[in-house]
Amino acid sequence: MKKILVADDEDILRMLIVDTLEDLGFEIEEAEDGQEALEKLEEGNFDLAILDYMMPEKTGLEVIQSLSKETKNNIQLVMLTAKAQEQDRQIALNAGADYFIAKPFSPTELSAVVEEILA
Amino acid sequence: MEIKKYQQMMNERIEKTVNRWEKRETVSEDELYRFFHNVKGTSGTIGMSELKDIASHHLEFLEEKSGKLWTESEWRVLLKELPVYKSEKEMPVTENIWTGDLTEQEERPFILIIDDDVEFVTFIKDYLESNGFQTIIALTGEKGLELFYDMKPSLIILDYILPDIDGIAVLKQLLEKAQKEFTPIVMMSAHSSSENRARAYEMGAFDFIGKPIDKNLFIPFINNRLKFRDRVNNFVLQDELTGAYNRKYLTIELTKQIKKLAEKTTPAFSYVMVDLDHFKQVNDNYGHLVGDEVLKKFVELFKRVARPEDSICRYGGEEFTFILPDTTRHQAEARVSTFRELLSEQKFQSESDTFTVTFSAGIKEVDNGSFHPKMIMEHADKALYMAKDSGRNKTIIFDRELEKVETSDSLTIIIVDDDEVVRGMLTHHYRKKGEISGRPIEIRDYDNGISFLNDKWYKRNQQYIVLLDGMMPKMDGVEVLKQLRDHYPKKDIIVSMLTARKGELEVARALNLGADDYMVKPFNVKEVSARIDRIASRVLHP
Repeated sequence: MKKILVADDEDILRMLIVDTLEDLGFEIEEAEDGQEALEKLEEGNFDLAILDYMMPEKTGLEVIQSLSKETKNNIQLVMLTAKAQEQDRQIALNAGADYFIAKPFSPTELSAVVEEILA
Repeated sequence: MEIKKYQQMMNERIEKTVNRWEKRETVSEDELYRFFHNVKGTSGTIGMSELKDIASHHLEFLEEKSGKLWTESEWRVLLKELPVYKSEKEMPVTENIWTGDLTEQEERPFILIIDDDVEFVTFIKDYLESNGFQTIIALTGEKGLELFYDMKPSLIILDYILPDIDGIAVLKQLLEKAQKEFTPIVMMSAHSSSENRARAYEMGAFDFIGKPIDKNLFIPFINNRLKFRDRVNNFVLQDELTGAYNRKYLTIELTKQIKKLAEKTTPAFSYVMVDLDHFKQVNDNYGHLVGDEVLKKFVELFKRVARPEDSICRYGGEEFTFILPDTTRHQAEARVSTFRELLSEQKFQSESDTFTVTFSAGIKEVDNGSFHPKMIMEHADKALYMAKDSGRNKTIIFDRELEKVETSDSLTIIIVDDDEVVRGMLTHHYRKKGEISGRPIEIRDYDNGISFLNDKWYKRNQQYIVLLDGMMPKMDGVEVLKQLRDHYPKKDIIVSMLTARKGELEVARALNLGADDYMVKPFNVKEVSARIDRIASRVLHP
């Protein structure tokens, strides 16, 4: 079973994402802030991480920047962003993000993206 | 999946947050920012789009890490709009602002209502505004004509019989003018005999509607006419009054010239921004008809000295633009100077007087194709401003030095309201906005009319917009207005009354005493802002 980390400090949204992805049959772990996300990603064997851009402790961008090379190579990184600005995306892309989903997104859109990536 | 579950969670979250905040003296703006930021991010995804819109609206006015503290009555104003919260709790403050209407107001069509029946005027204004239109009202034909010239409405609603009916000339002028600009005029009357209707059509009305109006028909009807007007205006490239090109053509021509530069088929062209000096005085002293004659002649004379490839466009009221292809700035300066001489010899006639007019000009030479049209306009505008500022009747060429010059005088917005929340919101909004049409804004606020009247805020030749609350302790707004109009020159001070609903009598008195506009509470800041932008355009071209 593919393993996904969902990191978002906004608990309602996180629960929604978790429920959506669990329905699709993925194994999910959660993180409530950037630091927790970073620690979990380095420990566990994740196939994909969904990271909110704006999180306390560490932003999604900082999480990506702090990941070890090895982890980064073995994982797909999806960034949730309310800041749709080109600039932020560029920075995140350079840091190693693979996909973006702009908030607000529909759960269906999210499922489609995740299934596509992990297909 | 049951999305309702998450919506329920969101509602509980809002409740909880409110309960937590209620126990405290103040809430920091940072907390408010994060709260709305989270709400915005989540609500759209879980299908609460109204909530999302409200949250993003509030976010525009909130600053992360601003350090500001909000009292309960202040933050409740923001929370009150949230759908879950709205239904259950009443806000403890007496006057409320922000009704949560979030449509973009800037784009709204602007309707001028001319009618002496105050009750009807307020009714129709209310009705139109609740349907998304902006309106401005005039109780006399004279005032209506003035507003028509100053504010360029998209449609006019006109009472069939106006009090200054010996101002039938005024009426005629208004109708002719509106027809020329393709502005639909709708006449209204309780006396809808076919005789009256025929007269109305003969005079130039587009439509005649009987009072009372049929509410089911009125809005679709107005929309229909506005759509027609838009379509017509899309085809028109010429200014009907003067025969100059219009702004739409200007954009096309400017883009063409920039493209030619980029293709290097020409070394340079000049863009000249021109403004007639003290034109408002011409209108005020001799009437708009004479003013129109001046504008016509101005264009005619320019065409006399122009080459076939030159174009003159009417940019706004008395502002024109010359586009001079294959012309360097020094050549442009020489040609403008020839035109200046020709114009100075032109004598204009009014009933009582002979006069001449002058203009100020700013030149921008464009010598490479990488310029953005907006930049060109801005540079020419800056040079024009310098020409005006340094005594008028002269031409200034834009150069690098000018770029650093701080343009424009400020526009002062004065808020007189005993409600702290209203003052706070508006002040906050305008601090953030910073300018209107490139003019820096200064803000003053007073919590009562007496300290406003006693304070030394007035300077000659400065422009002011006063937002005056109708109901205040000590001295009510209408009395303040009266004093203001009695003791200060009218022309530089625009007054908009802030009034509570059902204050028709108050509105009537205020308008008769010289208020220019009124806004009904509760209102939202965006709406006020859009109106003020519009009103400001009246005073910004002295």
